[in-house]
Amino acid sequence: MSRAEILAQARRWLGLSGRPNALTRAYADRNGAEFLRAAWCDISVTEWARRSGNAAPVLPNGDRAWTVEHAKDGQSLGRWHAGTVENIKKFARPGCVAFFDWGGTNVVDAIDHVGVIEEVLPDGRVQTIEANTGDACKRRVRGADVLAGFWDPDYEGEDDMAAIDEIADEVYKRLTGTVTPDVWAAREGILEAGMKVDPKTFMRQVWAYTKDGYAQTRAILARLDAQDATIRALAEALAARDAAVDVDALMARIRAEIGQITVHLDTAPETPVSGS
Amino acid sequence: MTALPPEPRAGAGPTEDDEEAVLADLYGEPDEDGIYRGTGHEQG
Repeated sequence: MSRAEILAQARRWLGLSGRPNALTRAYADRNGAEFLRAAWCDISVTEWARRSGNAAPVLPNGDRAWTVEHAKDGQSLGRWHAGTVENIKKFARPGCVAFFDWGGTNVVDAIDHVGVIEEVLPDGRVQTIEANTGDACKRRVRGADVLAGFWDPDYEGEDDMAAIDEIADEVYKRLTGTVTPDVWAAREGILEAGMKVDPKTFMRQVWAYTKDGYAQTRAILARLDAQDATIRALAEALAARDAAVDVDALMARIRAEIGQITVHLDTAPETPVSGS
Repeated sequence: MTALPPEPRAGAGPTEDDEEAVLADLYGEPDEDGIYRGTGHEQG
């Protein structure tokens, strides 16, 4: 689903002419034979949207053949912009659906024709791909004088995205709350039970967890170093009494045996490191 | 139910005076049918 894909689809039909044609036939298959030879500008926009996976953003109320209805779809979504040079420069983008009134008004009920904007020109005009322009599909250049208005389908799914304020509220909610007695930080005395936690407190709690984890890791490594030194001293004492004892071989064997041990670590301060 | 569209008034609508020049600048010269296809076009 993207504005590039609907334009790629529209380009595939450049040069198509006459009716019935492949686009009116597809539309008529779904909506009735009376559309086989109908004005096919909006029928084509409908087909391009469907064939490019853009039906949801471009056809919010289903297939459209009548331009006035299609323009009103955009109005009801709040995505409509009147056809002025200022609006073209400010809001028009490739993929916008552009509606024309050959009578030169911006009145939706007076709309005659539709196309898809391919380029927004620097002078406030648009270059479009239109079907049923001279009964053919062509690229055209249109000015604001005949552009009744345009709307920008929600190709990027922006309407489905939470507003930034909603995201901020959710983050804030997750970072706040009341400390309960059973949480580790309360048991450790880092936070008091019943304390209201705000983002600043949350960050302090994260820092406390990290700092405590670092201290415990250092303590464990120090104990392991001490144990290693003790074992080496023991091996060397044995070697002093018995020349047959190979200190390095004995250390290697002890390390291999230790490697078979599963160690359970408990964050409770008095729980010893245990092997099994 | 989708409505049957009326035929647009004034056919293809008024043409911008420099339309051919703008399209040629963007997409190169048109083909024999007057269609500005550009490069990489793939007919559907």
